[in-house]
Amino acid sequence: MKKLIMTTSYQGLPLACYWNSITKNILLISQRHELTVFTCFGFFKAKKTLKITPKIAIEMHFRKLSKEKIGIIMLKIKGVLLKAQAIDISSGDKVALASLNYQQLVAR
Amino acid sequence: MQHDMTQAIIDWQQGEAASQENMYLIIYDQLRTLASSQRRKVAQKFGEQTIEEHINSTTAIVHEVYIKLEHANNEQFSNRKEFFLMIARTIHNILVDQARKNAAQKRQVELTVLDERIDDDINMAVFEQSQQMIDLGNALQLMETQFPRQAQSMQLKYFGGLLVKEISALLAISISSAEKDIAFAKSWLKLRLSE
Repeated sequence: MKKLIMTTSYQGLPLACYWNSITKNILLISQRHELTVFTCFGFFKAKKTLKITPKIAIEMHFRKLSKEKIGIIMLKIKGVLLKAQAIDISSGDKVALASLNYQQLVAR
Repeated sequence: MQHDMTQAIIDWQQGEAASQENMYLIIYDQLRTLASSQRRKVAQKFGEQTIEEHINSTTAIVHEVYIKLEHANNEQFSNRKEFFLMIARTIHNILVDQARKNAAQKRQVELTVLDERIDDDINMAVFEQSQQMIDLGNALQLMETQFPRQAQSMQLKYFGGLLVKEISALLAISISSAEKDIAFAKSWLKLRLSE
């Protein structure tokens, strides 16, 4: 049900990102902080910010590729990409970003 | 991939919303592979200590590259060649800046803690490794002014992680010319660094 999508750290703070394959929500955990991003069952673009320290805020972005069952989860700091991972929305399996082409990204 | 990149660059320059993010996503995996190999190379050659903790991961290097690219918005690049050169330079600059910072810290320690002898050997080793990175950075800058094509080939090969055939395609030269350029750049750098 809850699948680990990516882990990383920023300035020594651990970050873990999970995908709930039933509700299609994303859960970002960093130490004692948690953030849930609702994606309306993986259909909508979503963005939320988790403030970990007074100076560090992690932005969690989700976007679904048009006509595909693929979603892209991105962690950003001040709008700059920190880490990204594409997933299969229905199963939560990871999809390599290199396997996507530009047309898939820009399709509307 | 080639066509995707070209299209992404064109869209970015035309100010298409979200084109920058799309381009970053397209090159993301390639950039991670590149950053990871560069980090390993620098760590092997100059020692793990030359890489500071906060930059000691592939994710951190890729993030730094994106930060630099954000600030390079006004810098014009019209094709893949210029884009890859910019990326190669950016990764190189991040690692050289890190080496410069380490060298500066070492000097600071020497000025303020004159009597401190603990870990002196380790500090000296880090300083020497950082100095090598700085010397390499300076030599590359000089080569860029004197032999631009050879310097570009070198940067694309060692900092951009591209294959010789990819370099020859990017720079529109033959494979043998690219090989000769890299060999020339290597021996030029060797000579310069041994002076």
